[in-house]
Amino acid sequence: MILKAQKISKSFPTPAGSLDILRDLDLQLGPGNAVAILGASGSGKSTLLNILGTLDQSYTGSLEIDGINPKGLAPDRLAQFRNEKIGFVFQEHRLLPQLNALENVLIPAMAGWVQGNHAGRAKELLERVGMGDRLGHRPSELSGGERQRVALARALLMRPKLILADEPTGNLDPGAAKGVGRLLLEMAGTDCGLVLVTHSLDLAHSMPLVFRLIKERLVPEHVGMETIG
Amino acid sequence: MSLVGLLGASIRFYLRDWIFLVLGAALSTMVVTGALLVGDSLRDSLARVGREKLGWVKRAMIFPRLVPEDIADRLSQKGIINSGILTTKGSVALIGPEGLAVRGVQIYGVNESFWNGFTKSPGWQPGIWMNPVLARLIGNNGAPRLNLTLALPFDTPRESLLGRKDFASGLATLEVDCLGTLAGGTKRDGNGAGSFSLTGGISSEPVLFMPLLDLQKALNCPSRINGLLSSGTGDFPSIDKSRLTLGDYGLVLKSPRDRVESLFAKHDRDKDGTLTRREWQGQLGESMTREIGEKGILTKAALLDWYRLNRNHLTLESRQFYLADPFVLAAGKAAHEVALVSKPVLVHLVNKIQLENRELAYSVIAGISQPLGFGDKALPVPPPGNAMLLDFPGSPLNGQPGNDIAITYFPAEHSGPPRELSVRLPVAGRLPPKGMAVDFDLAPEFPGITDKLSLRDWNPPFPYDNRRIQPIDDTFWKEYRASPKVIVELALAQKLFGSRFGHYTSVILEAEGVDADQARGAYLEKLLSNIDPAASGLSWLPLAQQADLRSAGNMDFSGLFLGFSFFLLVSAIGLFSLLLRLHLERRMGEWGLFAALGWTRRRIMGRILAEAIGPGLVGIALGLPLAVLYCGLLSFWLESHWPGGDLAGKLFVSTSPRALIIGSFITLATLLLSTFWRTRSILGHNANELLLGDRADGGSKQFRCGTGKGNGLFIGSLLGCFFGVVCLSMVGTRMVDAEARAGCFFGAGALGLSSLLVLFNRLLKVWDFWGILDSRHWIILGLRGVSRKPGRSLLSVGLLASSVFLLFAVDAFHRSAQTGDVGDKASWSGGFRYWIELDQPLFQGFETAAGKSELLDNIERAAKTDPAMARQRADEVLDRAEIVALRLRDGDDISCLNLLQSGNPRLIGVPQLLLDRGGFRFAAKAKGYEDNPWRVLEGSGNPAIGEKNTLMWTLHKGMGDKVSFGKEESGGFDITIGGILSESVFQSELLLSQKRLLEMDKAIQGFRVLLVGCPQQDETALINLLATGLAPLGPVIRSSRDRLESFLAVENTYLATFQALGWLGLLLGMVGLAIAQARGMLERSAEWALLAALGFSRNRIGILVMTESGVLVLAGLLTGMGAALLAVWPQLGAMGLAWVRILLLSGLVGICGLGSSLLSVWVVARLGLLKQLRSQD
Repeated sequence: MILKAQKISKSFPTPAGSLDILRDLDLQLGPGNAVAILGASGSGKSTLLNILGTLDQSYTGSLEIDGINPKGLAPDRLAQFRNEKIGFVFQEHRLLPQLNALENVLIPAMAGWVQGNHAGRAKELLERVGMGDRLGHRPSELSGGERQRVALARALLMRPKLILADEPTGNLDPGAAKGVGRLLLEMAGTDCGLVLVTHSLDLAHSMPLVFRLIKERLVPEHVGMETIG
Repeated sequence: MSLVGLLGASIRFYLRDWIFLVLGAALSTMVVTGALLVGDSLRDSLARVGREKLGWVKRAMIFPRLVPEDIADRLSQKGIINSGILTTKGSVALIGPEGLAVRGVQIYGVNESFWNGFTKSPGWQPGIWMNPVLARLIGNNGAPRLNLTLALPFDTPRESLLGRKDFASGLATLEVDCLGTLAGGTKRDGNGAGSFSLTGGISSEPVLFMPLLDLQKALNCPSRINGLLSSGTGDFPSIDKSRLTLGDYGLVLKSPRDRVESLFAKHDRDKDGTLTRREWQGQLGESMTREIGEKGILTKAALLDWYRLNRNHLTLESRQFYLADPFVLAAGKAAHEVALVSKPVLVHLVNKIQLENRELAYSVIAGISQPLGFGDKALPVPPPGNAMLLDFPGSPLNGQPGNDIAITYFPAEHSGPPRELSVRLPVAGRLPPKGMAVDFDLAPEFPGITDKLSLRDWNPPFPYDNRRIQPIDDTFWKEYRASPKVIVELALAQKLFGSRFGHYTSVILEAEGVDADQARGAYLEKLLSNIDPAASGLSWLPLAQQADLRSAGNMDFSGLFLGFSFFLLVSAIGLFSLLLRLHLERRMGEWGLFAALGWTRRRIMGRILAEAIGPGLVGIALGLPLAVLYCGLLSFWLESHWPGGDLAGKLFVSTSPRALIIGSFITLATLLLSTFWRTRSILGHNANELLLGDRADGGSKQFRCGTGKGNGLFIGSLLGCFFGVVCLSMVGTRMVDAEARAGCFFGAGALGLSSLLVLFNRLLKVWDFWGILDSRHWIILGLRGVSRKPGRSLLSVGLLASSVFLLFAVDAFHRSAQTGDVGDKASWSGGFRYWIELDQPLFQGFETAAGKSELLDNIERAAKTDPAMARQRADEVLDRAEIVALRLRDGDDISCLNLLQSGNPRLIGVPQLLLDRGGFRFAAKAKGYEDNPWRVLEGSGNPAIGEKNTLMWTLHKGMGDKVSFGKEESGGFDITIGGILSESVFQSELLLSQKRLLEMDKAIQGFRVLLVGCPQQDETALINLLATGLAPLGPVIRSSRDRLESFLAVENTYLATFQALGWLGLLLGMVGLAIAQARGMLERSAEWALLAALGFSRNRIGILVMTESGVLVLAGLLTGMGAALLAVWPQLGAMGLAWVRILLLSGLVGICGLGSSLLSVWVVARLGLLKQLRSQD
């Protein structure tokens, strides 16, 4: 099991009392599984993704990623864990403007947890996302879709077990969005799990499994060919 | 919402930003206003010091001679204190074996009226008091017994034939009991007499107060004073001539009755109305008394009758022996007005009159221009160039017309032993010994000569050989006293015996048939009305007014301290500007929105300016008290760092409204200008760009390496620049002039700095080109962060590098006299290792046998063991030494040590010996005098030489400029700068040829400055010898190096002030840099969050942040230091210990930079990266 989240709850204190965002939420994902989570703005999609991505440690419930519970890991160990196990794709590409495409893909390797030459894999990934001829180009010289492809390649560099994509096509036109969605699924392949948060029905429905976040809970909306293990 | 409401809302919303801007404005106000306040404070403090020194005295007369003390009463006015004072200089020592002598002590003889003007210390009583400075120097502020060595005043010029020149005769020594120390001297001690001094300047001198009577007695000048203090205000109140007497001018008018009365008053010891032979002997000639009385008994009436019959004239003489020309002129005018004839006379004492092998010793020769007397008793005027001989009974000369007589004489003026001169004159005829021909009163009285019974009893001040005296000489002396044996025409006498002290010894005033006694009153009245008191040294000096005027200083203090604060000011304004820029950039979207909604650029600009005025005014209001604090701190810095501690306790903060208003206005204008400038640049973007704000920067474009040709051109240009730097540095080392050297240094430094910044800019692009090909290259990520905003990075590095360069540059200019070349004639020292200044003048240079002998005598006397050996050793050392004696005209110290305005610079007369010798280092030489620029002093037009710093900073003069000394009609003169010395020991004075100096000021007596050169091995021995031998003259001995260092210390204090304020500026710059960096880090918070999300540890993110800011600091430091090193590299070897200081400075800058970097890391660490990441999505 790559992802095993059980009874995940999250609430914020407010002057009017505690505000629940997520309540007793369960989600499990095996290798090659991909799931899309739909939800209205403010429904808690991104909060869930941040919890799954270990960016937010203030929740209740249990979380295991590749058999490891990240809660309680020391900051540096947690950084290493994130570096090795999780790949992020953000709504905004978050490429560093001073680096070219290849260098942006290499950023996770620069965290220093895994030694070795990663340039070859970075180039290979960029080839795979169709950016093989744009290795030396800076973000300012790329289109929105191209930037997101580079971001996808960056997410895959360290061979993560789990890819978390937060509205990856939010700023793209429908054509580019479709391409990126397809590529996400394709790149995740059979070894890692993919959690995609979006409010795009088209993108969500391109995933095998779709949940909708309603009233702090995940409600299955559509089950494709794949099933949850 | 109104515009005001909008402004208020904006200010409230961005309150934190505005608080920073208010602080920036407050800092700017503090610096600008503070600097102006320092200038005003310094001026006010100097004025206060000047007034404190004067106490109740507002004006004074300093007489060039001793005058009767009743002048104080005669010139008194209602409600005004007039107090006569007798001043002299001397040495004061504690009595006892350990008694250290304090040289150059100002001694004031004062009476009760002087003390009444002051707040007296508790326990004060009439007596002898020290001021605090003397007490400190002497190391005893109790009531010690003191040994005083005082300079005696002389009526007769000491360098005239009749002046006494040996050490001992010019001094009086006495032991006194001092009652204690007076309060005063500093601002904390209040306004006591302890602060009193008539000398200008900021330093306090040692002073001893004595009762006037005691000092008059010690100096042998009863009832006479040489100064008059007054509490009366007014600039130059004219003196009522009718209140003056001839005594005030040092003149004596004698009528027949005066002579008789004086003779009886002095010599009628038994007061019986008759003079016996015993009483008149030594005063009157036998021949005359034989005509008057039987058996040598003279009654007053008989003597008066004789005088009226035979000497019916008035005689005007001077107590100073020679009559100054203005008095003779006035005497003539007055005579004309009362129908008398003025007949000036010059007499001189000659050593020998010889005709063939017959001779007469020690005779008086007289020069007249008109016959003296009338009828058969008249003394005729000889034909021009001829002499008439007195044909007295027994005269061996027996000269006939056609004979030549040889006259051997000493010149009327000389320093050191006089040299006998000789002249041959044809004899025009012989005069019978009667009437005016035997008027011994033609020669003014001179104690030690004219009052002696026999020639053999004379005690003259010149070399005197009584072996020359024959019986006939003594017989003549008894018969005719000092009657002239030779008469010549006045013009010839003046040519032979005239001097700078005068060309007349008396004026005879007579008219046929006019009774001299009766004419005396009218004549005296006319004479007094014809003498100009001011031209004779009787004029009020408005001391209090001068002190106020001089406190304006020798430079613009406000400008100076504004200059010193320049870098701090630039930093403060830069910080304000930076904060404003960050604030305005933060609100770019807002400006874009206004633009999109139809606001014009001008309207948006107006809104921003309106918003800025509020914080600006609040900042100024807060900055004004800070300015007072800044001024206080700067004053404290100056007090504690000023060389010699002369300013200690003397400066106070003056909060002049003028400075506060001007400072506030300048700050507000600068801030608004800065805001306008910054806003204009931001509003240069169109509405769309503004709306996009910082996001308009879509990321830097990748640098493409130029073509090979372009790179070659770049490298070539850079090498060219570095070559230029090297050339300028090399040229700088060859420059003699300090300013030219500084110019080359700064030129080379600026070029080096620009080149290195261009190189850094190129490096930023090269970094940009460096590929990250492997995870191990992660550190490049930090470097690429630096090149992300190259403009901001270059600005940061440039700001830091400029400040570092400036600080290092200032440090490199820290001045010190170099010891290596002190013995070199062409160096700053002229080859003279020591500078000696004497309290009392020296009259015989050591190049003369007599001068040397006098010095050796003193050394021999002081030797404790084997005096003969001590003398011999001293003789040997003196033989190897080079000692040049210089004349000094007292005046204002015009070196940078004196902060006060100088109206009357000290002058030094350069003797021919030094003019011929040459030497010293010159910054500018007159055309045609390149080989020996000293010779310019021999030219026409009163040429003078000055030191460059003195001329530039104190006198504000250059080559060819004139310096005026008083008004011409009252003896003033102009001099013209004909040469400029470079960094020399002559910084306190201007230099003229000795000859020219004596022409301009005839009162200068002797030598007061000695330049001493010697082989290095003799240095200690020689100085010890001179200290011992010259001890009676109060020598103050300083090495040339010390003297120069004392001047350089002022420059170094200024440099240190500039540097200290520069450091504050650098600190402020660092704060700005840190804020800018922290702000940059905040702007890039999403980037750091991304790295964290991708698994970068905190340490690694910290290192990247440190790398970014550290690279900027390091680049700034290295660029600044590199530029400074490039500029000074030819002199690296000579910098010595300066390196230690430079390394320390570098370390400090590095630490500041590290602090700035750590602040950035702290800011990033506090971001809460994951929250930041979340909040962005």
